[in-house]
Amino acid sequence: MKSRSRFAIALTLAAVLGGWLIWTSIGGSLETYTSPSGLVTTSNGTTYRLNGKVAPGSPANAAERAQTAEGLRFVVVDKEKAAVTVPVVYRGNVPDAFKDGREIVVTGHMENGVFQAERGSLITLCPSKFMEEQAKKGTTMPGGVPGDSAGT
Amino acid sequence: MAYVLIAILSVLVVAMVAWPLVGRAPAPVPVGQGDDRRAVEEELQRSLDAIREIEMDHRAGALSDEDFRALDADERARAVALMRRRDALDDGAGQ
Amino acid sequence: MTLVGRAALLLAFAAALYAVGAALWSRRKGRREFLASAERGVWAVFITTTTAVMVMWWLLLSDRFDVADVAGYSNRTLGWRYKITALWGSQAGSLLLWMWLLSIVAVLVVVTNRRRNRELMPVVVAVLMGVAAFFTSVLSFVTSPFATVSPVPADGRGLNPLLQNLYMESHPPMLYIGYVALSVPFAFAIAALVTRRLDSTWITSVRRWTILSWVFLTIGIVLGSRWAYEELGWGGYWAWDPVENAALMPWLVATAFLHSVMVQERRGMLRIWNMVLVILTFTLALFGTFLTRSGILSSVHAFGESTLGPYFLALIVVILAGSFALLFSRLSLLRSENSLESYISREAIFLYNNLLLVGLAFAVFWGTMFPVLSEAVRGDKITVGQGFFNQVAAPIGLALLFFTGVGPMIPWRKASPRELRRRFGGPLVVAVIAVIPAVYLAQDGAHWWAAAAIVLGAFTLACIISEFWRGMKVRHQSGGTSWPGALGQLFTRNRRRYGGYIVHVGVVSIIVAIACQGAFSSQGDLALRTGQSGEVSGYRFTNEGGTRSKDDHKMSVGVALAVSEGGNRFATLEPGVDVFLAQQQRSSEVAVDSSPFRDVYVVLVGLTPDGLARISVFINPMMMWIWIGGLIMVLGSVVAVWPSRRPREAIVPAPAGADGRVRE
Repeated sequence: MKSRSRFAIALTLAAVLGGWLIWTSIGGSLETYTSPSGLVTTSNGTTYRLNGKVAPGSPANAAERAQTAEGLRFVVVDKEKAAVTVPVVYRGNVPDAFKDGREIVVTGHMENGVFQAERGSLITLCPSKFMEEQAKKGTTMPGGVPGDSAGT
Repeated sequence: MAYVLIAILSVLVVAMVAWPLVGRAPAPVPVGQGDDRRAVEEELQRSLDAIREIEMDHRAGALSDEDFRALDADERARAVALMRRRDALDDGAGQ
Repeated sequence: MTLVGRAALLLAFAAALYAVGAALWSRRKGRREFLASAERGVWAVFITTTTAVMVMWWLLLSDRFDVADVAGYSNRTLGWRYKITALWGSQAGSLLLWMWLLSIVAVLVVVTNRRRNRELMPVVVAVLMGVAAFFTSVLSFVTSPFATVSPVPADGRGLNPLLQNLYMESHPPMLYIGYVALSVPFAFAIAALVTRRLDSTWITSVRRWTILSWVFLTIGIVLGSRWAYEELGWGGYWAWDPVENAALMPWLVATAFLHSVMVQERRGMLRIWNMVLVILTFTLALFGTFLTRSGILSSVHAFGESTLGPYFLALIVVILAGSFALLFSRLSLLRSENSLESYISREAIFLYNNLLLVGLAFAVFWGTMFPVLSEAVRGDKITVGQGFFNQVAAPIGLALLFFTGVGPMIPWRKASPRELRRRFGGPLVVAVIAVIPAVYLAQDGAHWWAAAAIVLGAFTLACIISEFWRGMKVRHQSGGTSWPGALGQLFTRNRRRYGGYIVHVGVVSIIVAIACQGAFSSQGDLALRTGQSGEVSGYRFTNEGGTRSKDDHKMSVGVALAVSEGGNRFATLEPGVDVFLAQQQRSSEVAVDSSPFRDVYVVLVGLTPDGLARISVFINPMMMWIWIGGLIMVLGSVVAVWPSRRPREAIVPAPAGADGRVRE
């Protein structure tokens, strides 16, 4: 067994693995990260991860509403431009930290000017005072990780 | 209060690092020799463990007689070579 | 007192810089006394850093809200235990903890190497203290834990209630110990390269420290998952979050190293590769700290506003460039003593296992950094979902599971096909039997990953058991030892090998449990008035009434649920929600009924004044085995590293004609 052929095989394996990774990464669910002002309002089918803050006036019983058929309706405000907002409809698990003014990320697409969120895709970002704990720690503060896609 | 603590801490730190330089330093531990010996010794121990493991694997029926003879002979040769090296180091140190 | 803290950190910085200089100077001829001085410098760094930590704790315990980190992460009503925990609540505080642990580790290295590795020690001390100088300078000049605020607030903002529990108290220090301990293998590797002492001298110290770090990283990762599962209330335990990935990557590469180092010890191969792995693990540990502190992924994580990013990035670049340049200049000294004789041999299996582990670490890295890379290349920030990680991790995990079973059964150097057939007969039969329930479970074809995990898990477990069985049989038959005695002997005579097998049992448990949970978990939402009942996946939940209470800190609601299966009531679960008044923060108190086959996990979503309880139910199969597997892994690694009195040269290594002298 020449060391050169060994090297070649290792390299081939690594290349195959790398190529396959890129393929699955491209073929998998890619989502464009954006803020309300970056959102293309025409429904073009792109999946977005929308990042912004919950506008004042979100329902107090958000978690309960999100379990009903109508879903939880709230408004997301751009972090920089307070004038730009997007209405969101969401169903599924609502993180404990969800409330007015909190920064969130939610996955979905635009439909008739309303952001239709995927079920269970709502994540609250840690407010800055808690952020470090997260860091050291263990996980994000997700509350909303798709319950049906955890795993293979 | 704070300044006293800071002063004590600073003096302590300086005294600690300076002591070996000004005080009667203890004889420095000889470099090299001991470590060479230990490296060989550790490698020898690993080799002896390997011989024992090969022996056990053979007795457990995990190695065919043919494979066992080849592996065992090689590993034993390695162990002997290591013992020679160790002894050479010991003799060198003794002179 | 903040002044004392700041001064202590500055002194630590000065002492660390001095130690680097003195240690390097001591490599000159006739300057050996400077090494003793440098080692005293290590002690000085430890004492000053300890002082800083004690000052910080004192400030926290005495409610000094003029200190920013005390005001931000503690308040008057916080219990003393959480005031101690609040040390690593803040960014600066967590770096202080990192630095403190590093100073402890450095002192341990100095103490345990007073008579050993004297030639390596100057460089080891210089590297460790170089890292210490970096952290103390950041703590002194960039983000100080002793920064003050004015005006002084009347009370602090308190610690996030999500973090007020035992898991959160314990797991950040565990992960940090794991990260910090990786600096020792790195320091020894660099020392070996610099001094050109590339024999096996450095390997022993390095291996022990890597296992130690691996154990703590394992505990930290498992506790972190457990925290996510019990406290966050979304029914899962792992979300491929950047901060989780940050802990997983060094763990994966350290695992690869612990295997490939055996190839180096036994066969003198993979010497360059092992160096690369040691350098990578430490870099990844720093990268993990960087990732969670830098704000580079702030869009996903709001860690923003951090000024630390460039510093950490610079450190990582310097370390990577310096280490690899050094490695490259020593390549000729790292030639392999042997070459691979067969692709079916123990060393070849270790090679595959290494490629898989490092490949997985790379995939995790790729997925984690994809948003940053895509933004740099295309201008769009594109994130990859959990789907990507699961797609990549599943096949690699299964392949690793397979090699976990096969590896220990294949002899070093080469294996003859006849022997292989004999050895794998039993495990293969077990695997074939396991196919039957697996096919049944995967009947819709959608769950074939889980089915494969079950079959491979059974196969691997059978391999491990047969290894134990063979070892015991030999000792039982040849020595006349009793069966339990034979088992005991396996552990006393070869701790590393059989301790390692126990770790493998834990790995089987975890991978099978993850696959089953991923494939067969189910979820349902119910809205029940008092007395009503509803069903999720065959489990019947009956609302037996809600409770409400309120005290100074929080408002709590809860609901009692009778849980039954097939008319048989087996548990009463009482999930609740606390609302902490100070922070207006909700915190779900999930209720879980665990059994070996499944967890019934219930979250109370809301309880209306008229008694309507909305609950989310998660049925998670095999969950318990993730935690049990973690425990088994830790126990196994403790067995493997426990020091043993080894029998000295009990056998005579005498091939014909050689004069192998037997000592002792």
